[in-house]
Amino acid sequence: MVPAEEPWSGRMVPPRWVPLTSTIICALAVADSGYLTYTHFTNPKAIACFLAKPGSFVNCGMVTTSAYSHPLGIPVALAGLIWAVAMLALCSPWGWRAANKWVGRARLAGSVVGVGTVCWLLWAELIKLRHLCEYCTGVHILTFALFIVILLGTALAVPSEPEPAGVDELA
Amino acid sequence: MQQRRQRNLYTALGGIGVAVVVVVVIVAVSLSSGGTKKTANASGDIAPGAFALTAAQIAQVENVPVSELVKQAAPMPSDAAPPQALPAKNPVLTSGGRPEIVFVGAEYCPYCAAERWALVTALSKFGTFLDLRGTTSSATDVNPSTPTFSFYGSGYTSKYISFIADEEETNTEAALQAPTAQEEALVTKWDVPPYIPAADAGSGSPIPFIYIAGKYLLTGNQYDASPISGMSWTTAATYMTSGKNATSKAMQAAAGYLVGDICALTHGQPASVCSLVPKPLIGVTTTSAASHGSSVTPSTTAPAKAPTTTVKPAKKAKS
Repeated sequence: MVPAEEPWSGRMVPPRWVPLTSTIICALAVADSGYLTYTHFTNPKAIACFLAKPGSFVNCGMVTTSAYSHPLGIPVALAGLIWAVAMLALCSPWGWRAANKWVGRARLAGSVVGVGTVCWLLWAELIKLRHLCEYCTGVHILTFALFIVILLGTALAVPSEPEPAGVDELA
Repeated sequence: MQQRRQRNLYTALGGIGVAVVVVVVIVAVSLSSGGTKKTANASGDIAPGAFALTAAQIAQVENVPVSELVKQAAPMPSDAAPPQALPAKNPVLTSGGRPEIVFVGAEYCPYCAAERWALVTALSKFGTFLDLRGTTSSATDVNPSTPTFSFYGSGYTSKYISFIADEEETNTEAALQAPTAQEEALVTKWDVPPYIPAADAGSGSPIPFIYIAGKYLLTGNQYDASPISGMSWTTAATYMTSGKNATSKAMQAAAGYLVGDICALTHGQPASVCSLVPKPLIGVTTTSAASHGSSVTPSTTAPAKAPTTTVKPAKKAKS
């Protein structure tokens, strides 16, 4: 008879590539959403938002000034920036090392919320507005990539090695 | 532990798979509905005879301050007419929860040419135009070659209002855009007496026809733009935005009336625009203008020396 598996109550360690990859993705997302937020509050008609040729399907301005740019009254660019900053903290090497299981849960929940929002925004852009915002798409791709990294990182995590005996004494 | 890890991996791959499927479905629906294809709205298509405008040229018109518009509109009567009031019981026309403004015109029409200056000036206070082009009215109609914007292939986004435009014909009167069933229904119902002069009834549907969310209506141009007939687009833009000649003042007053009516529809939103509009201009109509001393009446909405053009019935039937 095989004994029942004991739930692991200690720290889970993801593959080594996960913290670094997720941190880089989050940093890029912060930069991208930060730019969108900056243009939102300074000049929504910023040149960078209107690089698209007239009639182009890819047209940031058509999206960032649309009725879908303020879900629940919050500028979507600002919401994206807040999300990206929070995820940067949760996905930093510190976040992945945290023993508190709620950090891991928050990271997982954040990635699911992020990808859900991406799906909603994609629907708004492709179906309702029929225009794609290049900078928003950048954040969408990063969000999706982060979702994959976090899911795999969480699934492939292994219990940390117990601290060698006598470590405290040596320290 | 290994078993649990494998189970977690399957769950993760399942989650990723679900997300991928959702994205693929959205893209597929978009492609199948033509969502990513060019459409009449913001397609960037350009009508024969139309030409590209630079961002600076468009900004010159869009950047006339609200304070200037209301300054020209406030001393009623002005040389421009406010929209007519539609019956109070008429429902508000909305799209996506926002009041919707419907423009039906044609590029050959010199009165539509006049009206587009005011419309672009006013609507740019509430949202963003994209792919606006320049064009001129017919070279052989009255006020020949009046420079103006073309709404064909353009787009407009706003948090506050929706705007759709239909340019039925080119400036050489070739068919351009077929009206939608909704536009046809609105024109049939409202582009008739008493909203148009009785004398015009029976000779087609006057344009420009601008249905402002079921509450206000324009069945002609608000002011006379004949002085810009034959001007280059750039010269006309400078002339119209200067505020230093009667035509410019009339255009800005016309835009001011539109801004006031749109503020009534948006309940004062955005405050950055509507807080600058004096109360008498909020929801202003020919009737309320008259009560403020205007002599403007619906039958003289179009300047007397500039009778409203009409869409030829035969071409309408074809479209």
